[in-house]
Amino acid sequence: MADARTVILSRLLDANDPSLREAAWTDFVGAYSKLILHVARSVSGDRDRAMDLYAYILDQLLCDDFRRLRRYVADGRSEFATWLVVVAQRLCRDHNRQRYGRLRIDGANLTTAENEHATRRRLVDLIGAEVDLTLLPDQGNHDAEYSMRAGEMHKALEKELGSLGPRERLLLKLRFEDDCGMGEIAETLRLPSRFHAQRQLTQVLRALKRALERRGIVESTP
Amino acid sequence: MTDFFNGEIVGDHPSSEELAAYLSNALPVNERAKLEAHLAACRQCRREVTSARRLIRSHASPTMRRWVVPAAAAAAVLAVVLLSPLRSARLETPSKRATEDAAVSATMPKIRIVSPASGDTVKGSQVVFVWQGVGNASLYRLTLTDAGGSAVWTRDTSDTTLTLPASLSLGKGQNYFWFVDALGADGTAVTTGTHRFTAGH
Repeated sequence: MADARTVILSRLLDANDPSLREAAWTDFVGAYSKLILHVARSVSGDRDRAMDLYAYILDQLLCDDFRRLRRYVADGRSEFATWLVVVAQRLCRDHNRQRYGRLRIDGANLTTAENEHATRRRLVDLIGAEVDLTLLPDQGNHDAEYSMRAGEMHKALEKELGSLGPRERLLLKLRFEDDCGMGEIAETLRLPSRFHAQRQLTQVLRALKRALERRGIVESTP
Repeated sequence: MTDFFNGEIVGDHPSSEELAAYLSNALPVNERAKLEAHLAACRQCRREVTSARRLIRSHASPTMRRWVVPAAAAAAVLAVVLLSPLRSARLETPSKRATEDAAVSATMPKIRIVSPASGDTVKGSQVVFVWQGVGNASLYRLTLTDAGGSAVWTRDTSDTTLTLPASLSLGKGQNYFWFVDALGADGTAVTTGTHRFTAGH
């Protein structure tokens, strides 16, 4: 459950005298500098850049009469350090976007063939070493029938995945798209251990397998 | 509803307070479910959650194990069903890194297992675990569990092989899981990830 406001935070937000406020801010920076710097360094390994980010984060926390900090207090649900990490990360991202522009990472950046190839790679990864990667068909030489079967397979899988609940979809995304370890997945989904996460994953995959078999998809290749 | 492989939600991201509450396990059930539905569809927010969790953990305990982040999948990664006998372990295949977000950088390369390989059936009365060494590892810790997740055997070694003691007999036809953590002299660790084998007849 959420902390009560930290004493330092209370003193900072309640101070109405400039000198008291300045002293409270100094205490706040002293108490949370390390955490903020930790976030900044994780975003940029370059020391100067990390210091720029650190200074930016502090500046943003300070501005508008500590508007962001007051929002935390008004919400009050989370641990303050957790909230600070989330906010600091977002501020780093904003600063990077201002500096470098927004990086688009979406399916539109890849051609259809690249998407399909990435998909095939994943299929092969999960089926295992039984499939010789060198035998993957050349993407440029697909006949119409192959393409049609591949499309049908993709659609069937898409449909079955769409019928999963949000937690099951999240489990699959964390595992196969974000490459999270089972321990991390267990932590994110609040499961007791990585083995529980592994077991859930196995159950989901087994159910998907049965669903696809009912649709007549029993092989990994189109 | 965006499609599973390509869709990304670009609006209605959770606020910092919502995300922090989620990470603090302070959201009521219905709000948690709603946020998880968003996370399932939004790679950006999902990575934000993962990254924040790692930062919190690594800040709280600087000598604690840090997860090695394998290279992230390219866009449109498919979660696929096993269409052959079910394998629960991940294969060691490369994938591309594709994100500007913060990531924990590896100080040690990932450990690769040698045997028993994922999905193997181990014959004979003794199980020999072998993995590739990692340059600056000071210690390896092997953990063997049953299918229920209960630890069956744990052993530390500076070698890259361990043999299951003869006094520990595995259930014939039963599945077991094993993983090795390599502990570096600088306090970081990498893991093989969990791999499954079946005790043969």
